[in-house]
Amino acid sequence: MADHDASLPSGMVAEPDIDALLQDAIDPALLDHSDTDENFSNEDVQRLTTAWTNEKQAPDLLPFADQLVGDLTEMVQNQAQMLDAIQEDNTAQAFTVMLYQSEIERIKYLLRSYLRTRLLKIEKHAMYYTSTEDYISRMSVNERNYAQRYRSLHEGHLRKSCLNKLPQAVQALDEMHGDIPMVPEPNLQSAVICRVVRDIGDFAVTESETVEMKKDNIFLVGYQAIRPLLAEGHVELL
Amino acid sequence: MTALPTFTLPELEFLAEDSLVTLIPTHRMDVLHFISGSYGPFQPPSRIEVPLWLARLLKKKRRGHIQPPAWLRCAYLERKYEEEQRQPDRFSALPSRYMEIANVLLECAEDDIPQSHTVKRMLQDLREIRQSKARAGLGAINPIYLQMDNLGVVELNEVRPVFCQAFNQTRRLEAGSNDAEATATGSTPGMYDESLKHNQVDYGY
Repeated sequence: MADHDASLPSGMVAEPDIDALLQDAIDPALLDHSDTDENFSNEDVQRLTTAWTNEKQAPDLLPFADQLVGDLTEMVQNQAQMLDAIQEDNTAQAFTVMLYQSEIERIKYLLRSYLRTRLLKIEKHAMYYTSTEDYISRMSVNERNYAQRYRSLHEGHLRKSCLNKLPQAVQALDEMHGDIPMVPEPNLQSAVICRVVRDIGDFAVTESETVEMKKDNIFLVGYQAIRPLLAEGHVELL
Repeated sequence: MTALPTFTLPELEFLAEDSLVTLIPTHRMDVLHFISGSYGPFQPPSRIEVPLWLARLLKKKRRGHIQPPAWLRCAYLERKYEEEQRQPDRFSALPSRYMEIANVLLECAEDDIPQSHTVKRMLQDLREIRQSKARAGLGAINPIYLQMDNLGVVELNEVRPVFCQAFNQTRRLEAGSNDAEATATGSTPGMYDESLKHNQVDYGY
């Protein structure tokens, strides 16, 4: 396999030159820093991406990223309007318009995926979420309406197709059976895979076990244990 | 207990396309003001860092070449492979989305990657050796936690269904045996010591 290195004689020497390799890959002199003031970056897209991946892997419903979804929806609309304006008075810009359009499509996809992931989770535990104060506050107004309607449709169906024909005593949908509730709840003990975003130090994953969590460590762990870390953004789900 | 859907490969590629790559433009272009940030101006032959999705579009329209990342070179991949062989109990460090990025680059800019055939083969070798290590890691599953440093997102996604289910099952068994032993012997140290030992090293098998 050694002959692959013909172009990279220094590449084979030892461990430390991995950094050197990476270094010369991005020669700072060749990167353009001339107008850093004109260039900006907006973290919102990145934040929504994280919100989506977290939502997708968390067993229960996370708080709705209200601000983020609102802001990005507005930015997408503004950008789309701007593109319409450009297109009207300048057909030569078709290429750049296409590039901008591509980004808009990406963000729209992200927004849709995020909302769809949440609806899926809401449908799965509609009865539980709509009857628990904490989770009601985690939903947007639209989601709350959706959950309510989904729940009443579902209950209506159960009653019509079956429950109404049963004795009154067994018609309830939300009884306790001993200490086991009849309404299914998301399993907060279930396993998730998370990456540590910043150094946390020793963290108790169970009552008797602590583990040192350093940036970029990856853990398979019970969701309940890292829930507070996730809420603070100290870990992200993968 | 139905599991939530894991990510599909296209979804993972979508996520990886936000990673920055180095582009060598061949055409002049003014600064582009995107929602997620602005990039440019594009002044050949100055290199510029842009998100992968943009680089892919520009490459497709012949507006530039992509400079493959340093880790996508034969020498580097070969060293990583040797590292994997030397350390049976852990994974060598690679960008967490290396597989998706490599996939996209090999698809859209194969002509920009030196020795692309060898690169492909070595990626495949690397993938296989890591995959078999990851699978062997299943033996280290315990009801507390498992450290899986340096596994890529695709690799984690692959082992997720089995690993998570195994974790949940051992947890249920643990809970069951605790109840049983509380009435019988009243202690569980044997089981705990075993799992503790596994926790010390990432993937202690």
